[in-house]
Amino acid sequence: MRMRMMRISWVATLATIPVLPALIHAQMPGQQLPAAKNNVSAPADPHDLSGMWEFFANIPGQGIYATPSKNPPPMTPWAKAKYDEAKPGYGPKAQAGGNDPILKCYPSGIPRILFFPQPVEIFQSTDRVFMFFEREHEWRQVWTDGRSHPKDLEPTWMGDSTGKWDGDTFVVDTVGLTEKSWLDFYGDPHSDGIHLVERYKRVDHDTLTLQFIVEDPKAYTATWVGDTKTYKLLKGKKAYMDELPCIPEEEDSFTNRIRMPAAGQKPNQ
Amino acid sequence: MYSYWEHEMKEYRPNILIAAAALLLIGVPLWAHHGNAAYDEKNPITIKGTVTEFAWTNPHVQIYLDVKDDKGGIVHWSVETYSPGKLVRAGWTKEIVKVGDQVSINLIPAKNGSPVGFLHKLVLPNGKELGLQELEN
Repeated sequence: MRMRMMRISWVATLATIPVLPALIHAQMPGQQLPAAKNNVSAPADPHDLSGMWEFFANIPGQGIYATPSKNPPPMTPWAKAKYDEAKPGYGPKAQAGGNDPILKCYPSGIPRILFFPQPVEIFQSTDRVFMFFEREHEWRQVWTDGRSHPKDLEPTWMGDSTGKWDGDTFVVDTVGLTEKSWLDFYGDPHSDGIHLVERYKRVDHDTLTLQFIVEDPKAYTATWVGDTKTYKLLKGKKAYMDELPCIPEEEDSFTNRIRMPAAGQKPNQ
Repeated sequence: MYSYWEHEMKEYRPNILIAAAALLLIGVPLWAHHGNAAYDEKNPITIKGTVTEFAWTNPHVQIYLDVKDDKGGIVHWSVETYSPGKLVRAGWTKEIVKVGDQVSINLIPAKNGSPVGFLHKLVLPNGKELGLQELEN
């Protein structure tokens, strides 16, 4: 494996993690910060994915709220039943109101959290790649020390991930994802048996691409190979992450004051 | 009902030059399309009124305002937009709008005709414009 990880040492990395919130809060609004460097053409080490990346919708063909691709493979009867129960706010069967699990503050989980318009910060150490998400203040780790997935995994929202380089593409292999989460914003389901492969490539200094490959025989009759998604590097004062936890009272207030009137429904209470 | 992607493909791709020209002329923020079923994405409107509340909160920031209608009556509008973090990256602050401010808002309205919308652009009393674009400085 041709691992060429961060230039910073493992010790320095560990020392930095506890002060990350301080670093982030050091960039609060209102503070005068140096102007962002316009270094689009600067060369980038393709094996260095570190930075704050955002999934943008101003890229042709890429909506904000997305799915691996708009043509999923045929669903099994098990998955079709789950899909029929889903009432998503987005996609081909979008409807106002609905039963999206994130409205109950369930975690978005992997891979759905990668489709949000909020940023993800990638941080590399000698044995792991960390991903910190503004959405839900969530994080995941991708082991890069050559280990295999543990046996008999209890399914979780972020699953168990390992990563390795295939040339200039960082390939993340994930299993152990709970089927309580939706695969995407469109209500497409997945099972606990999903095997997800993410292929990341830093195609230039400011651009990271990602392709999803979904193997889930309990849910889909064929492998689902996604479109290539594009993320852009946030620089200078744009490289700022807020806290975005899901607070039930805030969700309920927003539902009552905005979602329900917008859907033509009378607010609760 | 079809997705944003589908109507984007059906309607915009064959007329990409016209769409690009239209974008330059009227500045419709296609990138801000939210894909939310409740809003009429194809028919943005602009409202002007007096702010009664500015809620800088998750999951989405909200602006409430009183808008005069054609008959001299007052319509109370509820307007949502992105989360605070995204707005900070787009140049907003939590103090940027105050109760009593006269503002203009370009938004996509609720399909059902309720005075509820999703903000694309805000114009402050001093003429400053705030949008949702985070990438450019």
